[in-house]
Amino acid sequence: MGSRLRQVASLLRSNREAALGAVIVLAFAVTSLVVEAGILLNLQVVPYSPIQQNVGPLLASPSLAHPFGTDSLGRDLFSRIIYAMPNDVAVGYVVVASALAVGSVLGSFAGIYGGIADELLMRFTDVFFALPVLVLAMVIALLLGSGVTNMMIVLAIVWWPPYARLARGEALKVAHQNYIEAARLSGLKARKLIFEHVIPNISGTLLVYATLDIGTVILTYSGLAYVGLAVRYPYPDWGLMVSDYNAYVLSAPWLPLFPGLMISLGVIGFSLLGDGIKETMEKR
Amino acid sequence: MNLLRFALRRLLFAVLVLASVLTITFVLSHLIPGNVLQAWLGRSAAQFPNLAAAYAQKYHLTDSIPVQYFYYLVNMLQGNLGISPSRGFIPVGQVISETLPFTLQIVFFSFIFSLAMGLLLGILAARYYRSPADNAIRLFYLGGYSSPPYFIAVILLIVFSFYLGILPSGGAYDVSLTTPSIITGLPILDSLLEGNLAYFQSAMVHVLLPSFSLALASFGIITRVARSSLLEVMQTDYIRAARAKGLSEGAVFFRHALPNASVSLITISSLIVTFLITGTIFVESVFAYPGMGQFVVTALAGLDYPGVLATTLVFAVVIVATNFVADVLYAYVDPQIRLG
Amino acid sequence: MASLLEVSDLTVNYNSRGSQLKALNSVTLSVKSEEFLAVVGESGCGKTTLGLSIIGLLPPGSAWFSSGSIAYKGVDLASLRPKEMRNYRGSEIAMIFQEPLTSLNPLRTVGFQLVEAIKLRKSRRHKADVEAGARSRPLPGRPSMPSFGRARIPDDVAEEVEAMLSLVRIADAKDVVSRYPFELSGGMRQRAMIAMALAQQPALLIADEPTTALDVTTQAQVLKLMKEIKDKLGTTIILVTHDLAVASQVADRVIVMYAGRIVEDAGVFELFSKPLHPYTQGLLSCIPKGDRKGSELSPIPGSLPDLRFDVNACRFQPRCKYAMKVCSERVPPLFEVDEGHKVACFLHGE
Repeated sequence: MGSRLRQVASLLRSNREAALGAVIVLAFAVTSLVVEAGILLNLQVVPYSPIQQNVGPLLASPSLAHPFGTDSLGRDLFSRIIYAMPNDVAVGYVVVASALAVGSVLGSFAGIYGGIADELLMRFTDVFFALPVLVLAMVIALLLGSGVTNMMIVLAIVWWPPYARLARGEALKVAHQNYIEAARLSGLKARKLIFEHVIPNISGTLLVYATLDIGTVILTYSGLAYVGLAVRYPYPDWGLMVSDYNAYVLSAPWLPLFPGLMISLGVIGFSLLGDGIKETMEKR
Repeated sequence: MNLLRFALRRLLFAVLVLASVLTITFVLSHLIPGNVLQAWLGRSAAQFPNLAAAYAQKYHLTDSIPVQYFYYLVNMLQGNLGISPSRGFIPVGQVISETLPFTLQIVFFSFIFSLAMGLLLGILAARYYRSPADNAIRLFYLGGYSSPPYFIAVILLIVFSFYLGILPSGGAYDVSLTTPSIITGLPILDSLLEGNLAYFQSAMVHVLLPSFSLALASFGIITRVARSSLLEVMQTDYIRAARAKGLSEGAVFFRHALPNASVSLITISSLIVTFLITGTIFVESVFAYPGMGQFVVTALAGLDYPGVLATTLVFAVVIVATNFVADVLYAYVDPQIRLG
Repeated sequence: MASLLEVSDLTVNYNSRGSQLKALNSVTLSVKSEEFLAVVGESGCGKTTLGLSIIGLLPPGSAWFSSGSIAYKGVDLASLRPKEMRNYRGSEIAMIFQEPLTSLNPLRTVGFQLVEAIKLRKSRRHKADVEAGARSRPLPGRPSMPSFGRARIPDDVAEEVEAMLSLVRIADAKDVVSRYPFELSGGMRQRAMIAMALAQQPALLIADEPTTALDVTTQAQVLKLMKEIKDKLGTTIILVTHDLAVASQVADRVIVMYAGRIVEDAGVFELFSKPLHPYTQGLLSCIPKGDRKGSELSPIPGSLPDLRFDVNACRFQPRCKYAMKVCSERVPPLFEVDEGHKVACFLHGE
């Protein structure tokens, strides 16, 4: 693990794009933690309450007092945007982590042991691939009800199949290497074999994919939020803000623009970082 | 013939996938809170017991689960998709037949735009590999595919509709015009076939912004794949051998490099179509385009279960069909699969 | 016989992963018309670079001529612009490569790729006629644009296609033209490649390890075919190979290369009966011979030098058992020991 961190550090030094990505990713993560800590400790870390109305004039354009302007109820847009950041960031990390966990275990099991389990997994994921994750998530969301946590669950349910496929392919590659065969023949328990030998060997590829994928999760979550499945009024969420503020696109165009820009910025951050890591991996 | 056998196998697979999707939607429709009738009719179920009974009989909602499943399949195949509480209890099938053509229009045009733009920029990026042009293109597509389609739609709306005022801000056509009669079901095509040029022009102008929004959000994937596969193909031995023949750079590129690099775009194209059709959910609502995507949004907001499940099914049909076409096309283009 | 190709003092630099190296280091050689020359050496000795330099297909950007000239029929190819160089490729100088499977476009039939070359010749001839003011002949059809599927051979070239394929001893021409590369055997593919290379009747054919990817029987057939072609068409051939045994079967003359330089240049009988350079001697002792029972194969000790460092010494000296003081002080020039036998070794000059 130490060597991996060192690789990332040298990447960030040599690749300016990846470094920019890392800065964005880090800034988002730190801000989100601060905001969450503020909520837990009951401290207000943003300039204004995100839900308090009339903290400024209605539909004020960006100014020093309100850097992103105010909305039609006189709420401070900057505070609302910062306050909403942990939603997207947390969903991104949690969903990818769970997909990584489920996918790598199922996939490497199928890849190493083959047989009916493998066949079943492949056919099952085939069906998943026929349905757009977003639509599938919407259907399940309708059953589970809305809310950020529920969206995490919904996305976790639909997100793992590509990881299982990837892990299976990678596991197939290592399956015939001597140490794996030897470990298998020596009667090592499946659980031990997979967790101690297979997964450590395929984790590099999966982690690169995962880094790039966090952005995609954020995009999909913002889509669910846009159709109103994530956050309840009056609390803010980027996707929902774009949707709500659509009506003011003529009178106050900054209202839908800033939250949309934040989504793009977050996704770009993960793309740049992921691309950089992928390039270094491929060079070796 | 091998290609035929391959196509039949893929077709069988597509049918199996659709059958699984049908089963999933059936299971989901029974997992919804309350019973099915309540979900369909809401409070009206109690107010109009006769109506409820009629529906229950028509859709066999009181029979045992296997019987219900059978009739569910029969009804689905006949296009009876239930009734939509969010659209005044009209049959979902009717809503879909009214809205799907508009959605398909957006998907068609955005696919064309996305492919054209993606391929062109991919070729340029490969041609000027590692030059400022390559970097600029990369920045452009990175911004595109990192942005939610609705955000791009809002930007285009502000720029082209409000700021420049050259394109309409919403709708699918000028409502004062006579609508074309139904020939193929696709209004733009029908108006052209009928010679209703006023409608055709209006519909084309209205479809531009929604399609372009989706194209901007998706072309990056094509650019990326086109660029990398062109760079890869240009390094191959057969390109060197083609040059050794004395072919001009143009002939090498258009006769050998581009066709071979395009093969990888076939698989990507089916991914793009999936992205585009789900993307209509967002851009249609920004532009008030009366397609199926907008219906999904209102159905979700109105807890319209039959509406959501039926549109899910339609999405699945379109996507499975696209994947099937892509698979067969890929096999056709690659002689190793076609003949092997 | 007049000399067709004169390479003099050619140096080619390569940029590989940030460091520069001289893949060819002041190489001088001449090839006579209708000669069958073999260039022999280990991988990395610069023999492939030599072939690619002559036909002008060095990877752009990462390799370039830093000095010297390549005179082909009196024209310096090294100083031509890319567009001018293209006129020589295929029509004057052709090249076939080591791996026939990857050198054929996998998505095109053999027929398509052969017709492409034939039509190219016709359109070039037409252009030349027009330029010479000759009576204008109808322009030959342009090669058809991309179409996937079994290509049909246009009638106007069908005869020629058959003639080309029978020249390379492919009997069932009608069947082979509609085949995709993956449907043919390695030998058939290489024959098809040769047919394509010869389609424009080049004066010089460069064959880069054409038999390496083939099995021994097919190897012998392809070599025999190349010899036949040389005799029948008078094509000058440069065969690039790592295998002295292959060279001995077909070549009139052999050039041995080591670390980007020519170390020995001699007629084939002379070289095999009287190898002068210690490196050549080492290579020869590596060939297993059925008649010398009991004699052991003696591989040359040591390994190839690092070309990133230019040294003013004989490159082979660290591996040479006869190394002298002078060997590490200067680069040995090519000494002409006998007529037509040159060697770059201080054992044989000064």
